[in-house]
Amino acid sequence: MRVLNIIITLIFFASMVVLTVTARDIHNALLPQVTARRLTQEDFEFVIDFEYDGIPQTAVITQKRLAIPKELYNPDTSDAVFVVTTIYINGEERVGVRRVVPQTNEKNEGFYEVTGGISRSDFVIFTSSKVLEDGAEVFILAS
Amino acid sequence: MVKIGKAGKNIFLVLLAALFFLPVFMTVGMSFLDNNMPTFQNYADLLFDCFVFYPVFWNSVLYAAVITIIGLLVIIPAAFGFSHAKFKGKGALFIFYIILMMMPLQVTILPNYIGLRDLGLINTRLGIILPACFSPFGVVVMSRYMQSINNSVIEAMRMETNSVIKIIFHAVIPQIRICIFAVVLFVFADCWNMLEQPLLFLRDINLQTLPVFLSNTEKYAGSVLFPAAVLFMFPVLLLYNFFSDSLEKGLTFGDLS
Amino acid sequence: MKPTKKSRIPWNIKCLFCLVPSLVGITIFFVIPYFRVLYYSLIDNQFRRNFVWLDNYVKTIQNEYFQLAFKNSLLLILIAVPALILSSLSISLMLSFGLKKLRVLRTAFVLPLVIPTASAALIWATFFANVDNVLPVYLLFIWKNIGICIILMTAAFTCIDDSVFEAAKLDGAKRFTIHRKITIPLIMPTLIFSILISIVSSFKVFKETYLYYGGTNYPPQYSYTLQYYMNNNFLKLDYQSLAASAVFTSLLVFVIVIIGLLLQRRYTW
Repeated sequence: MRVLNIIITLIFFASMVVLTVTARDIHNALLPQVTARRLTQEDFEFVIDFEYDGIPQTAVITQKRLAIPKELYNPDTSDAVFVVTTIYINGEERVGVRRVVPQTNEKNEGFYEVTGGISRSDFVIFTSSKVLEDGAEVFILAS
Repeated sequence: MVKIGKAGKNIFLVLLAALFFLPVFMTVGMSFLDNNMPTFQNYADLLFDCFVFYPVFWNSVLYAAVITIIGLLVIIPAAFGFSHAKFKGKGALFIFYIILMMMPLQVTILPNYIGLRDLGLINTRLGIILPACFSPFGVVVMSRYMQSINNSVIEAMRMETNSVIKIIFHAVIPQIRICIFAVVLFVFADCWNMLEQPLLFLRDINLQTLPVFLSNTEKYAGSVLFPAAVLFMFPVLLLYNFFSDSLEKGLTFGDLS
Repeated sequence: MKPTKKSRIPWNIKCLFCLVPSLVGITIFFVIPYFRVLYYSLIDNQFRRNFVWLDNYVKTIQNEYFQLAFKNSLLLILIAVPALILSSLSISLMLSFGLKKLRVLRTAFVLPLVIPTASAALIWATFFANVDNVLPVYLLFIWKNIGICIILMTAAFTCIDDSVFEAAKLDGAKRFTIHRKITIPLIMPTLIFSILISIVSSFKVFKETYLYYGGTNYPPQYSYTLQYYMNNNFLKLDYQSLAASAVFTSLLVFVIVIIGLLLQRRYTW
C-alpha cells in the first residue's frame, strides 16, 4: 500500500514535470499553423478627369497604394481575410486572428487596392493549415 | 428495540460520512463533466491551454516543501529545548507560543508584512517562506508530545556524547516519528492552502500560488477550474494517505495543562 | 567505563540554544513588528506621527463596517461553534465506542482538514449557487474544522482506561449515562481545547468566505466578517484602522485563550 502510494506520487509529479515542459509545444502544434505578412504597396493607375482652359481632359497617373493580392482576397468571391491580433486566453496574451472585410477600389493584374479595413501595420494571414474563425488562436510560422 | 437503535445509529453514521465525503467526490465528478456529459475536455483545457497553471502549481509545491523542511529544522530543536531546558519563565513562554498559535492570520499578517517590508522581502519567494517557517504550531504540538517520550534513552545517550545534534538524531527523532509525520502533514497542508500571504505579499503573477489562481475565477475559462481543484487536492491526498495513521497518535496536544 | 570528555558548555545551555532559531524567527516576524503595529494604532498617520492614543480604536469601533463584521464574527462563534462541537463530539463517540468496522469512516471526517479550501469553496459555490444566506459558509466551516476536533477527542477517548467503563457497566448504567457521567468529564480538558480551537478557527474563516464568494472583497453583508474588514483596510493601506483592529482582535483572542487555558486547568484532576 505504501509502495503504491509512492509510485502514484512519483508518476503524478513526473507527469507534471513532463507536462510543464511539453504542454505549450503540444498546444502550439495543434493550433492552425499560419503564415502572416504585411501588405505591400503596389502601383495602381488612376484616371483623373479635369478641366484645363474649360476643356475636359483625361490623364492617367500611377500611384503606390496598399494592395491585397487577388488570390488572397477577391471582392466577388471571398468574403473576408484574417489579420493577426492579440487575444487574452486564461490570463495571458496570445496570438490570434480577427476577421476583417477589407474595402477595395482599384485593381491591377495581381492586386486590389485596399482603402479600408486593413492598415499598413497589420499582419495579414496568407496561408493556414486549418480553417480559421474570428478570435481563433494561431501559431505563426517563421516566414 | 436496542438492536434497531444501534443499527439505526450505524446507518446514520455511514450516511453522515458519505455526506462529508460528498464534496470531494463531487469535485472530482464535476471535473469530468461538461453539460452533464462525461468528458476529458476540461483536463485538456487546463493542461494544454492554461499555462499559468504550471508555474503556479510548482510555486505551491516549492513553498510547501521548503516551508515544511525548514520548519522541521526549527520545530524539532525548539520542541527539544522546551522539554529539556530548564529556565525561569518556561511555562509563560510556552503559553505565549500557544497564544501565538491561536492568533488568526489577520492579526499576524500585518506584523509579518511590516517585518518583511523592513527586510526588503515583499514580492519575493522568501517573503512567503520565512515567516511561515517560524509558525508556532509545530513547536507546541511536538513539545507536548515529547513530554510522553522515554527520557532514559536520552540520558543513556548523554553518557556517550555531548553533541545535542547527535542526541536529537539518535535518541529523540526515532521516538517522535509519528508526531513528526503528523506535523509534516499539517504544516504541508496548511502551506498548500496558503491564500492571504501570497495575495498580500506578492504582486508578481509568476510567484503566486494555486489558491490565488483558483480565487481568480473570472480570469480563466470556467472549464479549467474543477480539474485544477482536483489536481490541487491530489498531492495532499497522497500525503494524507501516507501519514494518516500518525494523525491521531501524533496529535495528542488536546490537553495542554 | 571510559570517562567522557567533559564539554565546556553545560547541557542546559545547549538545550536553551535549541530554542534560539525559533525564538529569533518569532521575534523578527511577529514580536517586534507587533509592537510597531501597536505604535501605528496609537498615531494619527505614518507621516506626522502624532500620538492620538485611543482615537483609532474609537474610530474603528464606531465604523459601521467594523460593527457589521464584528456582529457576523460573533454570530459565527455563537451558532457554528456549538454546532461544530456537538456534532464532532457525537461523531467521535460513535466512532470510538461503536462498531470497530465503522472506524474506517473516520477518514471521511478527517479528510476535509487537509483538502485545500480553494478546492472545497469551488464545489460549495457550485452546489449552493442559489442560496442567499450565510448557511453555506457555516457548513463549510463545520466541514473543514470537524476533523481536528474528532482527532483530538478520539485521542482523548483512547487514553481513558477501559476498566472505568467496565465498572460502570457492572453497575448497570446505560450507555448514554456512562458517556454523560464518565466519558465527557474525563475528556473535559480536550473538550475545552476543542472549543477554544474552534472559536479561534472561526476568526480564521476569511479564507473560506473569500474563496466561496469567488475572490471578491465585498461579500454579501451577512458574511462580512472581521477578517474582511481587515483585509480591505490592508488593500486600502489604511494602516491605522488596520493596526487598531489587529490589536483589538489580538486582545480578544488573548482573553479567550487565557480563559480557555484556565478552564482547562480547573477541570484537570
